[in-house]
Amino acid sequence: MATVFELSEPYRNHLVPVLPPGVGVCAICWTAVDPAYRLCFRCYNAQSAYGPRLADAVAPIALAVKREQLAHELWHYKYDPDASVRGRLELRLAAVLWRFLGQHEACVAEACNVPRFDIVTTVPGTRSRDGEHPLARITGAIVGQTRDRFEPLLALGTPYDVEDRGVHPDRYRTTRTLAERPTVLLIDDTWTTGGRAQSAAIALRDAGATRVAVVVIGRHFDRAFGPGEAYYKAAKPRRFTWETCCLEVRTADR
Amino acid sequence: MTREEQATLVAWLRRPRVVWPTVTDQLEQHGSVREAVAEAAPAQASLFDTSAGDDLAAAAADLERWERAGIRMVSVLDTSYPSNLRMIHQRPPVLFMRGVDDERDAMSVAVVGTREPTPRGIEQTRRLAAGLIKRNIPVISGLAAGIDSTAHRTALASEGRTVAVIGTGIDRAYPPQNAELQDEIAAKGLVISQFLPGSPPTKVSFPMRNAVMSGYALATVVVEAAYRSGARMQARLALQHGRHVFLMRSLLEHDWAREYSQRPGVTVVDNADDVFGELQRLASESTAELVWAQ
Repeated sequence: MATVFELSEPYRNHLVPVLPPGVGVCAICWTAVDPAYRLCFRCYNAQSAYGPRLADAVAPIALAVKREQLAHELWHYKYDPDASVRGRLELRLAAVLWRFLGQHEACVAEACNVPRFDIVTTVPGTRSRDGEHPLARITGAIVGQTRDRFEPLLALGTPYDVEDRGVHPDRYRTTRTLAERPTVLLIDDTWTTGGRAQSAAIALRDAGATRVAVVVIGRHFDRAFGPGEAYYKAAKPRRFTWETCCLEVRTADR
Repeated sequence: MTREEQATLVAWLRRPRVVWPTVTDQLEQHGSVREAVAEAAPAQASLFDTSAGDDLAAAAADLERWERAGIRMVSVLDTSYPSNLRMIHQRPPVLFMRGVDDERDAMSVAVVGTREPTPRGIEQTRRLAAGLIKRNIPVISGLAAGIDSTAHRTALASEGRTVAVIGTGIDRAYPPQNAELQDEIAAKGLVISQFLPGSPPTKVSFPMRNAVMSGYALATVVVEAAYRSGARMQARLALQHGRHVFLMRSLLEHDWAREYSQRPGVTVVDNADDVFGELQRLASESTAELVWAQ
């Protein structure tokens, strides 16, 4: 038997936290931005085009730094040719998600001004090695905190090129209308530009969701990109802890 | 992987300014050497042109020569690439191997330490390695002088499985006086090198070797090590890989070890029994059901 604590605890050794809100941090997706701007280029475009239809809150568990361990795991749990590797990484990442939600789902709900999320769903994978998207298995079967509320609400909509990372309201469609006006927690593994998660958030809201929050395991991060290195140098020495999350810090700072 | 693909990969890795971690990523993303090369750059794609075939022919001849010397090449695209190593971000694109694979290596332990051990360190290493072998746990080390050599020799003397992960090309030995030990390990166990055959030892090759050793084994035990040592470096790398680290209790006389002992995923141990108990828990994680309880 493996416990969430045993599997998630060693991640403290290598996870890099996102920086708290402030100058140089995108106010939506937490990545590095030029100090003159509040939002990164992608989030600015999304906000300009879709404003209130976007997610109410975005919470990355940690940075998925290119060429570091978390980014490696977030790719290999889906695509590694070795099934035993996929399985071991799937269990570990499930522990990471469970640990975070166990300690911080309330913070995410608070950031959306709701007591809880009625439904938990995942962004559909665009490709996977064994048919089922392992993130749906993690959220819908492994993580005790989410599996009873899990519903696969989203399916692929209008096909876009794999390289198209933009926000498109028709990129996904919901599998039903959300007539009961639920609050929805949307899980994704990696946030690269937000194109997939924000497209999914719009689809959920258009179908009737009153609140949509996004929790991603890793915020993709390239140290060589723009102001990335300065951000990384500030974030890395702030030891990762399970005790606080980025949204909590935001509440405390207000 | 076909011989032609292997030759292409070797020729690619020999090109100037090729970044090996990028090669690994591209191989994995494309799933074949040919597609990865085609994507990498037109200059690399020309590796397949017969007009630019000198490099390819040389690589193919080398592969033949290595094979005759009992050296095989395994890439991340091969199913025989070690699973433990696949799980870490510092996995090299290729490994060169002499010896035989063994399923038991999935639950192996790296035993590392200083090149200038004290008699106490030697004695601890002997007891630890013999104890691990008695429990059928393969002993992995780096074939360096001191603790590494003691760990290998003890495993061999106990008729157990030992694997050397070395910091030079697989056809070279460092230190040179360990050449015979290296041959014996290749005959009875396995020698692994992530460097092209012929590569000399360099300042960076040993820490790179430590990363691969950490990845190959399920956990690392540091026996005796000063702050500035490859063994401490391996403990640091192992934690970055999410791997478990064991510190022999006597290490706690060092500030670095006291600091490490407070980290998650680090256990202070007295003997092989302590290592074995924790190792069984680590090995069961992969198949277990997940529960919240602490």
